[in-house]
Amino acid sequence: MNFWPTVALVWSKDIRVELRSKDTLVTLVLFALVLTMVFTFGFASDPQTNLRVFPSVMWACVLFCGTLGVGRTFAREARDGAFTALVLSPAHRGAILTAKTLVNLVLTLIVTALTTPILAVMLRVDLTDVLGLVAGQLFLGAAGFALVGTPLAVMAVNARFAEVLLPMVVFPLVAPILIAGVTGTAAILGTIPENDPRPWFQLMLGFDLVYLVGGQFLFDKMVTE
Amino acid sequence: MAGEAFESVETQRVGRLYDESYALVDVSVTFRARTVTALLGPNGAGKSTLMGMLSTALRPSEGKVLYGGYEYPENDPTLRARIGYLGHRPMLYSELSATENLAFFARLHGVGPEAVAHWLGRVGLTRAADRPVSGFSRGMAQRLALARALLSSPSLLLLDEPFTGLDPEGVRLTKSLVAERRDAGAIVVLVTHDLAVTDDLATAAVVLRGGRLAYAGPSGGDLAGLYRDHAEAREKRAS
Repeated sequence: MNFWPTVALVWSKDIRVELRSKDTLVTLVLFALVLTMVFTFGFASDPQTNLRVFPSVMWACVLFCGTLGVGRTFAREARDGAFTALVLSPAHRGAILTAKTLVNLVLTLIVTALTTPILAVMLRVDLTDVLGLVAGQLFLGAAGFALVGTPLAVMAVNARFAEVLLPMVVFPLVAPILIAGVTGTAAILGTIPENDPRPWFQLMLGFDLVYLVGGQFLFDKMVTE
Repeated sequence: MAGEAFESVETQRVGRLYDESYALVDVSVTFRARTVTALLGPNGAGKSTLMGMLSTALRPSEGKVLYGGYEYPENDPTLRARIGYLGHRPMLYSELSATENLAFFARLHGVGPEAVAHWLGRVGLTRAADRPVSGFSRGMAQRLALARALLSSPSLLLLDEPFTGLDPEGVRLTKSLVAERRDAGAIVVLVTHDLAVTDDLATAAVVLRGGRLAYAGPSGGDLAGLYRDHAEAREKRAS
């Protein structure tokens, strides 16, 4: 089976399974809402302060929800052993990784699309004029999370203390994405002197490409113990 | 090479190191086509490790595995296409129906959709075809798992405890499907503790003990005797 048909097959299977069980999406949404409330009540202050903390709060939500989401990538399949059947099939393993990455990207984007407007309303930050730019950044950031976290989530299939191990490995690797995201959003909102977000977009795009190539290269080796 | 049945699968001095201890040491054994080989041994003997290596899920720390006399490159999809593996767990998606599970794996293996209904019928699950696997009994899930393993008509069929959870009818069905695959020219390796059930099916046996090869040869129709002589006897000597 060719690459993209395999991607479509695995992606549609994962989405169908998720729509039936809803466990990852419900967990992510509830977790994101709790985070939103905690951050909002913790940081809400005068409008200027709110504007300054907004990028950090928004990206903290992406960080925690993204990590939680990727940690569950293979959990369900590993439980029943279906992951073994999947990787022992003749399917292109790069296609399996791509499908899983796209599932994580979709889930992270759904949660981000839910939390960002709530955060903006609660912190009274007006994103109307910069919505496209912020959405673009969030897309690149969510893609970075999915591209880093998905191949590394294979480690969580058999590892003990996987819940601890995965964030310890993922957090340092996504640090460039986070730094570019927070600083880029601050540039978009005009809360830092350098208000050109383009270098931060380019940095995120660059790291996304590095993660894409690295993940595709390593995944094949990682699934064989 | 692709598509041809393997005449043999051979391990050459394979070993597997986990952390700092060996699960398998220096095992050289040949599994032949048109033969069901029972892989026997007490718990911790290294049976699942050897099965994992044969299935390509595990990489040998030492030695190599030859399929049809050929050492395939690591992670070769053409090799994986020719291996059917039934593990301890059902290896199915519990949220999907029996049909959806088989249809998914059929497409991954490049098998036509007609095979799905065929195999559901062969394992007696036609009436449960549209039910989610989460509602299946252990025996039904095991039958479906067997159908998944047989779906691509593999040249090498690896069965790890295939009779677990099956009723007598399920055991009879499994044995007939395994015999059918053997007669079609496949190499069948079967791990079991249910020696009486396998006696009339396995004509060859491999006994592992403490990660080492204790016996490889004909079964003589008495797996229990082989087990007693080669697995338990060693245990007594060791103690």
